[in-house]
Amino acid sequence: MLYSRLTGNDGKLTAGAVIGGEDNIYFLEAVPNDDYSLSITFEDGEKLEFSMLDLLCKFRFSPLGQLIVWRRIEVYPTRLEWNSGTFPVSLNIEEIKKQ
Amino acid sequence: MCKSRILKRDKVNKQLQNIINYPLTIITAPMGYGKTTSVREFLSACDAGNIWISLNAACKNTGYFWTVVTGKISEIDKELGAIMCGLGFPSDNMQKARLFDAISYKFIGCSCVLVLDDYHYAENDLLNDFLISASLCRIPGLHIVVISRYRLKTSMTELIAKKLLYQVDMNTLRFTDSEVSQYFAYMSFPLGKEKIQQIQDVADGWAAAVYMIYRGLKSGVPLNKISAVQDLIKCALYDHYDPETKKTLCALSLLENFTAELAEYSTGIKNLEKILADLSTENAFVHLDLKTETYSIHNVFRSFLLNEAENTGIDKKNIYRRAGHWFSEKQNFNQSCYYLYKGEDFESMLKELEKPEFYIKSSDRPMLFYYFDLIPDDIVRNHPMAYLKYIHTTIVSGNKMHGRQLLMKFEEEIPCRSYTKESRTEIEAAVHWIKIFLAFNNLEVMLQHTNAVIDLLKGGVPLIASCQGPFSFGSPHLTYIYYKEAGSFKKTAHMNVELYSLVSGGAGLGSGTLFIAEYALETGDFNQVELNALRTVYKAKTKNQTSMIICASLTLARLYICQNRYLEALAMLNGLNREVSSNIESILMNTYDLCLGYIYSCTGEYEKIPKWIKEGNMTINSLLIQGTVFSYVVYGKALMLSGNWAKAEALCESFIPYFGIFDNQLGYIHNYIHLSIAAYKSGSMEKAKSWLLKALEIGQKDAIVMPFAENGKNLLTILSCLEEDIDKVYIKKIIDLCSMYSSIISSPNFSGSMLTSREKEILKLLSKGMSRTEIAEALFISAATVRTHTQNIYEKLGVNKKGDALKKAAELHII
Repeated sequence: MLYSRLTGNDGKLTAGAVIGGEDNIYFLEAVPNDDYSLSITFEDGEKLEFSMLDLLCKFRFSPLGQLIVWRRIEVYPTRLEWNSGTFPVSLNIEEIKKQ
Repeated sequence: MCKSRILKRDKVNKQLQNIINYPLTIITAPMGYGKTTSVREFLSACDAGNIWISLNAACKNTGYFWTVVTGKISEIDKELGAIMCGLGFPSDNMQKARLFDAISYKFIGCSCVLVLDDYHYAENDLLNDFLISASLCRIPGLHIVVISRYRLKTSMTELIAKKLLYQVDMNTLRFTDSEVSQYFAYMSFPLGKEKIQQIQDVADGWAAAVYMIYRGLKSGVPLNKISAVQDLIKCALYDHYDPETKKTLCALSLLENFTAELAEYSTGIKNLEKILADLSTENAFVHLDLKTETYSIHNVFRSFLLNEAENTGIDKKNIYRRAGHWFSEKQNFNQSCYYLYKGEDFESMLKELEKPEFYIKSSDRPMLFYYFDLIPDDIVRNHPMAYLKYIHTTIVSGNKMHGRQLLMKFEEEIPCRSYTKESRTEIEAAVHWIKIFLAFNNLEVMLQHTNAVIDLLKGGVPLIASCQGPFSFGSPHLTYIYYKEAGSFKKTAHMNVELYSLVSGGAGLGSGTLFIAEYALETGDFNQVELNALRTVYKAKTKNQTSMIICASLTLARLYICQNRYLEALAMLNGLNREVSSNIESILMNTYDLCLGYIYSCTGEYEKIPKWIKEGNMTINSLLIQGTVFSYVVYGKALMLSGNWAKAEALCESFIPYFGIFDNQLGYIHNYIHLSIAAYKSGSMEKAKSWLLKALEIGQKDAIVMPFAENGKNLLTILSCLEEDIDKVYIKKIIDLCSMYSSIISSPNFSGSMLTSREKEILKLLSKGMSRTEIAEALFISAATVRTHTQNIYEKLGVNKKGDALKKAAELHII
């Protein structure tokens, strides 16, 4: 879905996507659901359901395995962030795109 | 123990090569992807020099950011650091242009990479805008690298489209399977494909995890037993240390970047130099920068240690405090406040501020306001001198109304406080000293408060006073500020303005003779000008009173033009340039520009007038109101050269209320003259006469002639048509001076005395010992042409041989 935002009608990457990628895409809201999915709303009103389940087995996202941490989400224009108690776990738009 | 080593990563280095091809490179990836390490490694093998600046959360405040940046630049280039510090964080286009000019000049012919590490801590719209402007400016040789955990909030589309920005993201930095394999082999711990795949399943290219897994496997920790990153850090990086080392690491994590000396002082742990050297050799997450001998702990490890520090009984506040005291000893105000604030040692912060030798530069003001707002009120009240310094800074920062309110409230509270008799006297003296600034431009009241300070302290200097502030408030003309009633010029010029220097440790030293010199110049008593202005310069130099030197130099330059001594006038301006460049106050850079604008308007050299003046860009927030209003005098003069008379007339008419703010009589005179000229040139002699009469009305009460003379060429016809009842002797003096000034400026000798840029170029090459033939080859001109230029140079400098020409040129600061 997000990928489609970076392509033209012909499905090819737009110039903006090639040169700037997700340069103008910003998070507006993100709700962490208990099934480890995120209900994300972008600044332009577009919505996205994104599952984090596959990422939890990676060391970087492992602190999110605790629901108390997972629910402690903070939304910034260019990232989502969780305060894990030690260091912040963050998820950028490009990572969502990659998934 | 495993020795830390860094894998050479070709794919990353290939991308980082672009750092030196672009004005701006932004590297974004979450913590632990090796952003800092990669850039550091790349730069260590790169020919370009680099300036590495690690930012922290306090850098969100642009004042703080700027102090950190300029402080670091000063370590490498003291002059550039001082200029940047003086300019302050550029908040408007004019300041940005000036800053970029200064940097461009410094980077001529060399290449330098400026790294802003951990930029995400500081990011805000102002900083992003600054980065964009700097990139669009394409400063030759300067490459900025921004290292951030997150993509910047501001859109960089324009920079991308213009190919001024190169971006490196986490996909580049992510370790591929092959790189993980290479890394383990490089560390003499080769693994099979299957094992590498298992590692990547959990590390997913995250460099920090790859390193920690390596350490874990090397010390026998089974990978399948660990699923949480906190456990991995604990097993791989922490558990194997003895309790003492663990405690040391936790204590060190409280400091951001530190030398062994700072760490030892702050933590009280002995022999840290050896411990740190061992740690940095063995643990890649403890990094030593060999160039600065500064240690830093990787953010992943540091976050873990900070968490551990909570459970180890370490006295965190004490370490922060000691670090603050250490920086205080080193006179590093920013770092000192940063740590003292973290240690909640507000008392020490305020004591630091109370030190008599502590002067708050205009560039430090944002920092002062930032911290002051964070300190609890009841603690502030126990440090009246620090609080009074804060009030004074508020007033001189342009917030006079707020400063007045704070001072009134403070005065109301004095009787309720139990101060000793001595400190009460000190406080009262400091209050009077601040009131000098509140009474600004009312010289009589200012002197009353000055005398009150003298009476209270019996000739001593208030604890909060400093001689370092610019005494002229940004104006290059001192009497201009205080002459605010027609008929009072002489009285004003002979008031004891220099008395202030007694209560400020020397601020304004030389102002007495400056008043006399300026008065003499404006009234055409030229014999009194040079000697008094020169006295001012010499006196002012003893206390580094740059603002006085600027005013005296403008006076001298104006005199020299009037006496057909153009090159000497030029030498005055060139000398000023150096004086101002070495000063810490940004306000004076603008004051210097006003001098240039004034003189080049008088000589008709429009192209040499600073751009912001020609364009009428008056939104210069670093200038106080007086300077800003004087800038309308200079802007008006520049408009007289623009030839657009309709515009000049309309604008000058709109300037009138500005001179009314402080009733600057000289401002009115200049502006009415400009209006008169503009009306005349637009074809309305009646209007021209009417405006000129307004100027003469003020002028004749004080016998002022110089502003008329400096516009002589344009005024003579209007003056000759005046029939009104104006003092004949006064008018004759003006007409005579106008004729003389006009003939000097128009004479071929005068314009001929200005060296052309080609002549200056040749002079420079002559000074390098080059022969005529060599110069001809270097400039692609014939030897005969060089000869002609040389003869012209000799003629203009009034010399007849090369040696004398070079000597004279050096004296006049032409080369």
